[in-house]
Amino acid sequence: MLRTPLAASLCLLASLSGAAPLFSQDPIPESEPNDSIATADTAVLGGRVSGHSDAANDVDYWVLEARAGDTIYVDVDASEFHSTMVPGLLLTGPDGASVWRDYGDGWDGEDPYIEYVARKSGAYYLRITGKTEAGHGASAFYTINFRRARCPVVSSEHEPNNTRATARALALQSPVNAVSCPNGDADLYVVDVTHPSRINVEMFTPEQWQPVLHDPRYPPVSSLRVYSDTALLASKDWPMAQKDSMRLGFDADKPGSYYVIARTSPGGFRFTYTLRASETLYHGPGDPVVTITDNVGPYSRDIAVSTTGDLYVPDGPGQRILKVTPTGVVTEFVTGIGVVQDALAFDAAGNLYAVGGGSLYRITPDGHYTVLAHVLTAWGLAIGPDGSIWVAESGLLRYSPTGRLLTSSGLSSGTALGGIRAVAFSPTGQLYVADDATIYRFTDGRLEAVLHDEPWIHRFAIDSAGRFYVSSEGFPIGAYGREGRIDLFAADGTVLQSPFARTPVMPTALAFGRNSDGTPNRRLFFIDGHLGEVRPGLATLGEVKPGSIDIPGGRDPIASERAMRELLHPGSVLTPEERAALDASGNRNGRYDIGDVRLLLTRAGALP
Amino acid sequence: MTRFARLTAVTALIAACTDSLPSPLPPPPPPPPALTSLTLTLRGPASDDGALLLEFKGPRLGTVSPADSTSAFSSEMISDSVLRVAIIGNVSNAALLRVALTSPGNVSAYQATILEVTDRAGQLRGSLTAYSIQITGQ
Repeated sequence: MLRTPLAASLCLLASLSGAAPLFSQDPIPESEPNDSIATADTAVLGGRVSGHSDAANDVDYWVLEARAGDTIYVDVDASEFHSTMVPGLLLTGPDGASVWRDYGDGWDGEDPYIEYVARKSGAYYLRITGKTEAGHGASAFYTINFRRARCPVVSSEHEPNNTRATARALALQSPVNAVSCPNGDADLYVVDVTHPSRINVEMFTPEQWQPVLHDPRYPPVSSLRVYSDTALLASKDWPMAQKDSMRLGFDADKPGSYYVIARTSPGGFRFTYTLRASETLYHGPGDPVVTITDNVGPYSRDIAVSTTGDLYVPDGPGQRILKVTPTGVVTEFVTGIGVVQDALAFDAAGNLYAVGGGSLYRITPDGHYTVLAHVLTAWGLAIGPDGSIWVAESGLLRYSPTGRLLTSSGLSSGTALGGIRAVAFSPTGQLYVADDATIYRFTDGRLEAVLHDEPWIHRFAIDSAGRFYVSSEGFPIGAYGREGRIDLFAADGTVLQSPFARTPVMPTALAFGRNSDGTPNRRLFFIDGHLGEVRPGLATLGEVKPGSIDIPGGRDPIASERAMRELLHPGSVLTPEERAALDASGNRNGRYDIGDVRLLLTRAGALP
Repeated sequence: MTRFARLTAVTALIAACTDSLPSPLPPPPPPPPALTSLTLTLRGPASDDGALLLEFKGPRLGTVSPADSTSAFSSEMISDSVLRVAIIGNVSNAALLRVALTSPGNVSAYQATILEVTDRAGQLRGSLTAYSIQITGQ
């Protein structure tokens, strides 16, 4: 039975509590001075003690009696409970010789552990110190459990599973909740594949995993390895953050068993994860996506494409707008203005529009900006065929090219969750707006739902055939992962591909590319940044698989007159691509006909 | 009887005899009025057609005008005697268009062929066998 992360955590705690009843008792606090063998505080096997690293040179000694043959367990909890202390242990025997040391190099997170069978009876002294460069004082607390630590069984993982012989089944679409046990535990799973397919493995780390990083250069890392019977097929190591996910795809060329090894470094009792295998996640024609650059603002949620083919993204915290070439060269375009991360758009003349700091800006191609109007904020921005500026604020505001407010449509009551989240024009000049889960056709203040995509539409881009590419946050997977994806819909809202492509975490912006001469092309760019909640500073600007876009984007309308003339002079007016595009946005029967033209006119509002 | 009197009597006799001869064949009826335009009317099985593409053949084809101004309409001469017409809208079994002729002609000289018909969702009709175009002249 699947469990939630909370349930898994409770299960973990229950398991720990059940394994050692004394665990629930208050620990015995240290009493200073205890910084020498002579002043050591007393502990007992099976008990708990606690203390602090009061200063960089503070040393605490604990003494316990053991008989020859007893197992001395020393399980320190510090960093896993957000202590700033990085403990180190030294155990000495009755004869004064050191018998074990552990300086927190990764047994249980950054906390050490000792498991030692006493060879002699007598007093054993445990010295605990905190690393000098780590924290000291009230925040540098520790607890020592003189008890056996076992990796608990959590939810659907079953230890032992560290060999192929003991590997547990990882069924497609059936997540496994597990713990990466201390001391470098490796969990093996077997995926049984019945037919050649592309398999994707996703590993999610839950919310409660918040290790204290004493050295940010070495963050916790999760690892996935995939093996066939004979070879390593894929591997990935990923610096994991809270609620983060890592995806690894591999081609299962033939039916059989494929082995997945999951581990975290350092592992530990608190390092839970959810693992899921699927054969559908990467089946979109736009996969695999390609990274253009990771060097864009983490909060960017919009892309505007200039008539020279460069990409512009807002960097709100940096108060700037970045220019990114299609090859990934990032430069500053304009700085010093507040910009919201959701609103950038170009007009036909190559002027860029942005919103921020309560202003609507027009920025000329050479970077000079002027304030056109005062607006509170913006969730989206689009420039109409007539040059009018549409701002999605609390409602939908329409400004003249000079910044005069023309109309204001309050749409909150007509949308699902209180506001517009995106706005864009179709190739035929039709305005569409989106709230969190629905795209609407907007005509004369009226909204007509066109398509629905759950949950959380961030952006959409319309190709020259009127089809919608929609970036969706997607449903949660397993613990806190997301099924973020780009979906493709026909002009009438019919789902054509879901997913069309997957992005590393969650796509927050979409835009078609342009060639250097300004003509729309078949490149579809995205920003994947998880709203800055995960891996801040690592937002990705990428594009879907090159060659996967069959119809170019941008405003490249096929005028109805040309479409009609093509009916009268077949093969002499439109290009084959244009005919295919119109069929794709029309009745999709594989050929160009009068039905496609009828639907073109319908979309353009040319029919009663 | 004088010579004058005899001539008068003969003339009168001839005149009398002439009145009693059978009547000659009536003159041919005047030619029917020459057609100067043609009206094309759709005859089809559906009441919700949404578009129609047709080809119209015949001599002396002139200007074309739609019968319904609410429909989108386009026509072009493909050759001297072939006209192609697209009509998109709420097409019904009614007059579709009027074709002016550049000189008088006969209905029998003209032929209309329906190429494509759709419903109002833009889907092509699978069969056109029940569709026809009635041509009438004015």
